[in-house]
This record gives sequence, structure tokens and C-alpha cells, in this order.
Amino acid sequence: MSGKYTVKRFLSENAVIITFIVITVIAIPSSQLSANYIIQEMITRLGRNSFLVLALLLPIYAGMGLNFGMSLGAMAGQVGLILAVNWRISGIEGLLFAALVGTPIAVVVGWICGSILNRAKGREMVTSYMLAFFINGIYQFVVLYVMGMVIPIRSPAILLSRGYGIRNTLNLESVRQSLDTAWMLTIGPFSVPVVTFLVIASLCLFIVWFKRTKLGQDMRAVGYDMVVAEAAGIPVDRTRAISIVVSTVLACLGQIIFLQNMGNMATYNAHDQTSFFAVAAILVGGASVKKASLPNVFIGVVLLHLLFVISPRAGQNFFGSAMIGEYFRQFIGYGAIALSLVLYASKARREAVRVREVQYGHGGGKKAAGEAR
Amino acid sequence: MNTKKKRLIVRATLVVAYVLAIAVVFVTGKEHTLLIDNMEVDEGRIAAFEEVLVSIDGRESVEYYADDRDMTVLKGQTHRIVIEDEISGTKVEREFKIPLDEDMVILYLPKVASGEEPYVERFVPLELESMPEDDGEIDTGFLSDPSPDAEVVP
Amino acid sequence: MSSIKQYLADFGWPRIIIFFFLLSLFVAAPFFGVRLDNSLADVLNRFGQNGIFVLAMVPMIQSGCGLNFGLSLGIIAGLIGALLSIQAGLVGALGFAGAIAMAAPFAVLFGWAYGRILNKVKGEEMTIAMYVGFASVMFMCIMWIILPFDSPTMIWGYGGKGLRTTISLESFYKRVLNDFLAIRMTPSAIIPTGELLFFSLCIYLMWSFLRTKTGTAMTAVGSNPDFARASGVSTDRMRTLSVIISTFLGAVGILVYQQSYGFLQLYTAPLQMPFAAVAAILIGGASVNKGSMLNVVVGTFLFQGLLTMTPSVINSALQTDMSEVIRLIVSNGIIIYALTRKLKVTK
Repeated sequence: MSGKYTVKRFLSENAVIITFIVITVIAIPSSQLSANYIIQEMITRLGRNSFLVLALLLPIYAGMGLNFGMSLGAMAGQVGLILAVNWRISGIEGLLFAALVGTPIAVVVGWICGSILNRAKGREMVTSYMLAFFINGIYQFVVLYVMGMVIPIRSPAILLSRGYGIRNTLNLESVRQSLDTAWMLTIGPFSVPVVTFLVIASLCLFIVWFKRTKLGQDMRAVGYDMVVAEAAGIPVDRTRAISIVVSTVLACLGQIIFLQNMGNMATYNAHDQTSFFAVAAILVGGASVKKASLPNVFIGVVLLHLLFVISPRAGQNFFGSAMIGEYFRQFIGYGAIALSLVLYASKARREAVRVREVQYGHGGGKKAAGEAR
Repeated sequence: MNTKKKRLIVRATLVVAYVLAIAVVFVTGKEHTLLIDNMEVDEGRIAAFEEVLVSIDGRESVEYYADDRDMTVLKGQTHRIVIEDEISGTKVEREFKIPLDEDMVILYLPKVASGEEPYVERFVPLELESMPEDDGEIDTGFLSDPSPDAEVVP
Repeated sequence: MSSIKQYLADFGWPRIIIFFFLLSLFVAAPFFGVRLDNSLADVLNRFGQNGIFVLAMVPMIQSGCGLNFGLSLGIIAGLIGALLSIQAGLVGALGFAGAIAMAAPFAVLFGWAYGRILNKVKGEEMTIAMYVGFASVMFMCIMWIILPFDSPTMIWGYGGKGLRTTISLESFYKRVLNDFLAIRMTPSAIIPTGELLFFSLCIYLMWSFLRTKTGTAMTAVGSNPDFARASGVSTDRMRTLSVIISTFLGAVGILVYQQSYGFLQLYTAPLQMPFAAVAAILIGGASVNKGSMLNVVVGTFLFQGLLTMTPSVINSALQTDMSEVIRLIVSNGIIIYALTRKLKVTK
């Protein structure tokens, strides 16, 4: 293997991350933002978003790709938060209450999602995406009609004046940043939400531990080859469903952490962009549909949000239009997802062809080209 | 005891513990609005304080004059109040409970000092401050029709 | 006869339920003060507006590329065509024809590039198509701001930069198809004959194309790749061709859609449009790998019928605005149902 080949391979394998670094390095100076401001933003955004991105890991291990259905969990968390605000449960207790109420809902919808995805093998990603739309309809139904009609809402401040349905914007003042400020460490000019980072760290430990358990090993086996795993006596469908359930529950908790930092919630569309930001982050961090690690998560959050922070200002300074920066960051997000999906899918296809060629000789190679996914 | 039964018991315990945990955070995290009132009671039966320092749950003291009424938010049900009359220098310390399902209660400072019960009562606000109404408009994505009115200058 | 039986078997119970649901809405409409003639005219109008988007799904389904979630690329090509036509000052039928003609090269170019990408990612087409579509829409958002169009009707007069979000077609080709041979059924209900004729023409062209040698080869690539290869058909070429056709139909589709509404919408408007077409063809009984003209017609009618009838009837019946939620659940539910159906081996 020549050196040139390795360089080329390195470039193609890390194309997304390299593109990102290059764009960011070019854009930082033109944004004219101070280093202190950018670093503080990164600390805040790491605390706010990392948990949500970590929720994507397990389904990737189980070979189910990117769980676009994670917004299901986000919706469960939002229901928990609405009820916490309704009953005026404040502070850390309010967040715990939201988590305790949201988790069983997340387990149920996660199980439904897992079962449906088991019926759509090979099309998990697009199905989970549509599933998020579908459950969104049910969420709207619950929040707009059931709350106030069936579930009693006692706080008139969050109720629409017609007597049922929750207002468009929910003020989370009572739980606002209660996790972040539980212990805010000031290092130089920066403030670090220690408890939030401890929660994230313990989730990382959980994931590392989980990978070593029997279930975690099974999950990887299923992700590697479903047929072989089935033959080895692993309950494939069950394992896959569990990975989605865990992911959904984590997304529920992650959304609660995210929203407590934001301090208010757009009742009807706070979950719309959840999977977009999380998926874009993990892919920008160098993960693929089949392979992801903890560093991918954190690198991704930093890189993606760095660009998000600077692009509106850079757009303003470059083109004289802040909207360009806004569109640009969405383009970059969608583009990064598209690019890394394309790179991975085409690589997987090439490899499948190569494997077939080795197995069946060159005659079979052509055949494989048509069948490989 | 067979394993099936054992598992059932473990699961039941877990469910009970879960529900208990919800109950605990509900009770301890529940917020109540407390109105602190320093007005004369029953047209002069108990006089208001001229000047009084009030501290709740060890927070910083707040000074009240006669006819003052203030609002604060408390978490949990059991609270401790310390009242110090700045004229006479007498200090009263009392513990009071807010019923779990009350959103807003009023505390009469003169009653606390004179030892009359109940000095904490339920309070029903006459009218809620009007809030800007937003309609529950949902995002139907691809199902919504285009409208020419949706012009926004980019 | 057997084909009808086959169709009913493929139809599946969710669609039968939707059919009867829609039927009951029509039956119930007069009792809730909803005028039947207006509703029917409305459904027909929307049928013509959206039909071509749904038709655009067919070639890619046939060639095995799955549902075209990236239809927005075609829509973008159509928008470029429309803008060029306005910029050139073409009006009336000429403006509409000019828009199609000027959109065509862009549609072919975009479709070709998009097809090349999809050929590299066989098996993952749908998710990738979706994100390629999203990314292109956002890229064009930037372009709409910086492209040098200068016709006064389409740029911001003051205070803004670039093209307007909504551009009126009033003085260009508003309702040029709709008003062609339009029939006034009752004083308030007009049948947009021209639009329906145009849609029928497109269906007929697609139907006859699929029966040509190239058309059958395209279907063969999707349904029986081994056989197709054995008979010397290039899989990749056929797939790319199907993507180009689909993209072109997307471009024509948006032009028909716009002339009927009387204005064109730029920026993020095309973002979600493909989903409606996907939902419609799936409601019509198509699956991820099998779609026919019948699916297109039935699906567009059912889906648009549902969109028209639920707000008016359900809202007056239940005295709430619950129809939006019902629409969300029904149309997305149908998409999921179709995605989770076991693929049948084609004979």
C-alpha cells in the first residue's frame, strides 16, 4: 500500500470533517467575534446539545442507522415539561419530574418505533423520519386537544383562552437552567455548568459500560450481520427494538436538558429540528451510518455549532445579508448529512462488490453490483 | 419461592419505587405563591406593624411598613418565618404549612405576631392579569396550502 | 377483470378505509352546510394542481430508485424556468410554455447529477434523496438572494435584497391553464378544464412512454435487474434517465401548480413539497417499487379530496379545527404503512 493511497483514503474517509474545518477556519475571522465569546458559546452549546447527540449512538451500533425518530423522545420530554410547568414543580425537581413522566412515554413510543422499524429493514432511516412526522400528529392532538379536555390543566397561564390546548410558547421560567446553575464553575472569563457536564459524562460511562454487557455485544453483532446474529441465537428484532427504546429515552432526557438551558419552549415545533441538529452534529464529527464513537459526538457538536455561531455574522459581513448566513448554516447542516450519507453508501457498495468478487470470482462481481445495498 | 414470583415482586417494587419517586419530586418541587400581608385585621382588631423585618426560610430579611403587601414564591410545603418588630424589638419565629394543592396563599403578619390561627389562608385572585393570546397554530408542514400573504423581507 | 382483483388486493385496507372516509365526507357535506358543487370543483382543481408532482414519482419507482423524496430539485428547476420567463417578459400561454422550455435544460442537468449520486448509493436512495433535496433548497435560498434578476415585479423594491418570497403571476400567466375551456358548473363552481386536460396529456405521455422499448427496459431494471442486465440494458443509464424524467416532471408540476395559484413562492417553500406527492401516490396504492397511472390518479384524488374535505366537513361537524391533526396523522400514517409493507416478489 503506497503512501499516496493512504493519504487519499484518509481524505475521502474524513471528507466531511475536513471540509468543515476548512470552512470554519475561513469564516471565523470574517465573523469578527471575540475568542472569549466563541469559547463561552461552545461550552454552553456542548452542555445543551451533547446529550441529544449521544442518544444517536445505540441505534448506530445496532446497525439501524441514524435514528431520525429521536424526536419521538423529544416530544415525550416536552409532555413531561408541560406537566411540570402545569403543576408548578420547579427547579431540579421540576426537571426530574419531567424526566420521570416523560420516560415511560418514551419507552412506549420507542417500542412502537422499534417494532415498526423491524418491519422496514433496510429502510430504517427514511421510515424513522416519516415516523417522527406521524407521531408529531399524535403529539399535536394530545397537546392541542387532550390537554385541557381530558388531562386537566390547572394553570391558566399555559392554557389557550378557549379552555383547552397549550399556548404556542411555554415559559419554562420555573425550571430555567436549574441544572446548569446547580453548580456553575467560573474559570477565568468562562462559566461552566458542571452538573450538566457530569450528567453527560455519566451517560458516556453508561454507554462504555453498556457496550461491554451481553446486550451491548449482541447489539454490535446484530449491527454487523443480522443473519449471522440470528443464527447465533440472538433475538435480532428484540435487540434492535431495545436500541431504539434506549435511544428514545435518552432523547427524552436530552430534550429536557436542552430546553431547560433555552428557558422557553415552542410547544408545537420545538422537536422539529431535534434530529436534524443531532444527526448533522454526529456526522460532522466523523461518524458514519454504521460507525460512531464518543469523540465523534463531541467533535461534531463543537464543529457544527462553531459554524452555526459564526455563519450569521460572517454572512452579514461577506454579503451584507444576515439571512444568507441563516440559509447557509441550514444548507451546511443538510449538506453535511447528504454528503456523509453519500460517501458512506458509495463506500459500502464498493466494498460489497469487492467482497462478492473475492467470494464468487470476477463473474459474481457484476451480479453483486446490482444487489448490494 | 420460584423465580417467576421473585421477578414479579422485584418488578412490582420497582414500579412502586418509580411512582414514589414521582410523588417525592412532586411534593418537594411544588411551588406556591405566598402573599405577605401587613394590613390591620378586621378593621383594627389586630393592628398592622409600623415597621417589621420578615425573613422566610432563612432568606434575607425584607422590611414591611403598615399596609404593605408583597408576593414571593416558595418551594415545598413547610416553611419557617421570622418576624422582627423594629419598634418594640420583639421577635417571633413560626413554622407554617401550605396545603399541597394550593397555588396561592396569603399570610397575615399581624396574625402571626398575635398568635391567632389560621394566619395562612387560601387566596383567590380576583382576576388574572391578561396575557397576550397566541392561537394554538400547529405546523402541518407539507399539508398546508401556500398563501401569498406570507411575505417576509429576508 | 383479474387486473381489478389484483388492484384490490394491492389496495390494502388503509386505502379502502380512506376511500370510505372520503365518501362519507362527501355524503355528510350537505348536512353541515358545505356546498357539494364547490367542494367538488375544489377537489378537481387541486387534483389538476398536484397531479403532475404525483406522476413524477412513477419513473423512479419503476426503475427501482424508490420514492423521489428529492423532487424539490425538479421544483427548483421549474422555479428557475419561471423566473427566466418573467425576466424575458413573456406573458400568457407563451410565458407558460417559455417557462417549461427554459426549465427543461436545468431539470435535465439537475436530474442527471442527482441520478449520478443515486446510482452510487443504491439501497439508500430515499434518505439521501431527501437530504440532497433539502440541501439544494437551502442552497437556492442563498442563490435567490444573490442571483442578478432585475425585473421589478420580482425583486424587493426597497429595504430588502434579492428576489421576493412571493412573486405574483397576475400579469404573466396566472391561471392560463385553468381558464382554458373552463366550464362554469354552477355560479360558484368552475371546472378547470385546461388544467385537467394538461394533466391527462402528461399521464397519457407517461403511459405510452412506459410502453416503448426504453420504458419497458426502465421497468425491467427496477423489477428484474438480473434479467435486464442479461438482455444488455445498462442499469445505471436507465436509472439516471428515470431520475431526469422525474425531475423534469417536478419542474412542469410546479409551473402548473403556480399558474393555478397565481403566484410563485421561492425560498423554503419547496422544502416539504415532495412529501405531499409521496403521500398521494402511496395512498393511491403504489408501493416503494411498483406504481402505475391508476395509482397516480386514484392517489391524487383521494389525497387532495381528503385535504379539501376534512377542514370544511370535520370542522363544522366537530366545531373544532381538528382537521389539521387528522390530516397529519392520516397522510403520514399511510406513508409509514407503505414503507413497512413487505416487498412482494414481482413475477
